[in-house]
Amino acid sequence: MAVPCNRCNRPLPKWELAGQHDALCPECGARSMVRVFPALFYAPSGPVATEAAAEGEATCFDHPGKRAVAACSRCGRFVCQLCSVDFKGAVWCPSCFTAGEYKAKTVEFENSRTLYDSTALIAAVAPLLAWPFTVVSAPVALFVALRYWNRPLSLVRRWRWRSALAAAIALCEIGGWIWVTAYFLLKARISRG
Amino acid sequence: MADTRQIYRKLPGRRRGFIFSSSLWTGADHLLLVKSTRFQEQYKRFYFRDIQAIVVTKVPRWVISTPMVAVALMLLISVSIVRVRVPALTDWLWLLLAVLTAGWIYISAAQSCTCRLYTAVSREDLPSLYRMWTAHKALAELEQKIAQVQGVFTQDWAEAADLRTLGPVDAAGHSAAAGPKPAVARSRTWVTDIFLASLFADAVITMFEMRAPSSWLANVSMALTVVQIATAIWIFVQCHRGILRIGMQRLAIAALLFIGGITYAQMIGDAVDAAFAGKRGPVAVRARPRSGIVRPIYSGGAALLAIAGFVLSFKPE
Repeated sequence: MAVPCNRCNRPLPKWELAGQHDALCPECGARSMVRVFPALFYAPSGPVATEAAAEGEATCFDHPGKRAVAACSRCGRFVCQLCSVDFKGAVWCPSCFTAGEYKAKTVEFENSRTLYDSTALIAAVAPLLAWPFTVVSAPVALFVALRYWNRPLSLVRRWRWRSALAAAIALCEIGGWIWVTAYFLLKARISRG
Repeated sequence: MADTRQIYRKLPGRRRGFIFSSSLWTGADHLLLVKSTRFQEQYKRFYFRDIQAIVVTKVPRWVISTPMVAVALMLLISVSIVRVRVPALTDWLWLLLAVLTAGWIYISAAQSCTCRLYTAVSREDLPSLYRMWTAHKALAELEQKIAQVQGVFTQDWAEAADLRTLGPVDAAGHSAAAGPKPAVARSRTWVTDIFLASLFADAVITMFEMRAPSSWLANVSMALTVVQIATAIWIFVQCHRGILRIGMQRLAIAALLFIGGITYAQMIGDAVDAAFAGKRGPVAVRARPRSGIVRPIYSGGAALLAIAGFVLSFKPE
């Protein structure tokens, strides 16, 4: 086995790994902490074998020559060994699995999320550096904060304080613009008459 | 969209950049790597049953995080306020800033690391674990979780592991994680060391020249410029051969452009001066910057390039 040094990518020597805690790379001199787990010794799984269907046997929906081993728990299509997707204790066919409906019930396959709360906060705060832009950005920040209030947050965050803060700042900015506009309008009216 | 939340628990360590950030979380049966821009988060899951190895290597990491910048800014603002209101405290604040900077340099150089996780099909860097103490803490927690799923070794694995392949395997059946890969580009070589040393020395000598101009210093500075040009060319060769990383080549290009730009600026400045003075005819070409404005720019620019090169040299490979 070659456990590589993170710095030079050369394999760490066996005698260094025998200590099982720290290993010194003879190439670059970097000290590494190596933790190896039993998964390294698991036998790699081989290709899935599918059996040809005999006369009169149920066959796979996508592979008519292959014997069906299960039915999709959602659409009922027969699937062969190759096509059956074992997910959350049920068998799925590839079409149902990729159709995405399972996403409504689980977050286990989500690989990204848009952070509307952070977007709203940035839209509310960043334009303060060039304050005239807030006349546009404040309504946008308020819209994003309120429109996407119920959208799921980050997978790991719990609170909606960013959305609340963005809405509060945006309201203050809008209030400020209304006040300034009203002030100058009134001033102009007074000076006219 | 319904949101059936997993309960995630944060592992020690978080990388907070100006735009990008990263953190690690543990779920019921997997490790979640979260990489975030300000507007989006991306997730990668590593199931405890699949993790083959974790390697933490001590290397210098010059990470500038947003909390650190915030502290530095607050201190600088405090200095500017205190200078007017309580001048006696100014030196203490500068001292505090110097101590904090020294602490950051020590931690970055001596207490930093890079962490990599291996499964049978992937090899992933964990950016949030870049300080040794957080890596230790996170690894202790992870080991416990993985041991609950995979069990623990009952004998010396180093002997038995000789025949196994760590990480993803390429088409030829070799481990992509390690092996004879001499083509790994390095951050620094002796050529880059000479290049950076000459840049730094040139900056210092030009600074001395500003105060006390002498032909001897000018000649040394000229010789250093020749060294910079020669080593810059050698850096291109080393990058072409895959020995050096591309960053140093970019720095060499920037240095050559800078030297050339300063030389031309000096020539144009001399010509303009001569024209204003009413001189006619050719203007003498001066290889070294002698103008009062160009010298500080040259000195400061060379120093900045040297510092940038120093940072590049100690970037993890």
